[in-house]
Amino acid sequence: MESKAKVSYTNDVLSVHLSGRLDAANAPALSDELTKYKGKPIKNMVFFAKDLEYISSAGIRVIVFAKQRIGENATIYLIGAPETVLDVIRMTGLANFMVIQDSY
Amino acid sequence: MGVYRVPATLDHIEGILDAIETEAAEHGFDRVGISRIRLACEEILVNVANYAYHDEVGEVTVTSGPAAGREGISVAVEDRGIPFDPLAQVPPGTLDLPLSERPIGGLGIHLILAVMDEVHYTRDGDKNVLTMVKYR
Repeated sequence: MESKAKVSYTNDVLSVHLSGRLDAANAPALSDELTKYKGKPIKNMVFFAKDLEYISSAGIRVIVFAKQRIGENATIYLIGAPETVLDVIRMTGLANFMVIQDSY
Repeated sequence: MGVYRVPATLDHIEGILDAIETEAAEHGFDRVGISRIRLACEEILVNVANYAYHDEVGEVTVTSGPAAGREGISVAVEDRGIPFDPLAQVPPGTLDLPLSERPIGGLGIHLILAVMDEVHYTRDGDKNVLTMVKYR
């Protein structure tokens, strides 16, 4: 499944709309896309996950990479994620390091 | 029950993962269970695709079927790459690190161990064999 992630940047907020799967097949493409925003001031990095069905460690790595290299001082938000995704976020310990909400 | 023998590349792996999801549904797993099974299989298959054969393309054989004795699914992943026991590689204590200090590697094996009920590795001649079982 190709990445259907849509990235946008406004008012120091980097928004990433995810859908389908974020896995080994398409995570690298999202990583490349996010790299374009390196150097820009980012207060919040918001991952909109209402339409995301599945995330694997490759997807987790993109989020970790984004925090470590793109938005070092940003607050990470995960919005509207379904249980299948929250399950993985919790298992990898990431739930403690992001703000998880139904809406932004 | 399925036996899939394909080149160990990411695009072939997608097809196997889709087939295993279908089989997991047939075994009665719910949405979260199916995703967890796909996750564990993806982690090991991506490992095989990226590392087992160094720069060459080798084959991976995946055998899936019902778990023995109880409701559930069993998946065996076999490759003829370099000897590699994924269970021996788990780095301790990294999940507690804050996001900014997290090392990028090591997540895959942790996830396999977290979601599957049984995980066994064996080196059989020139083959790595990883068997994973999840009970319903």
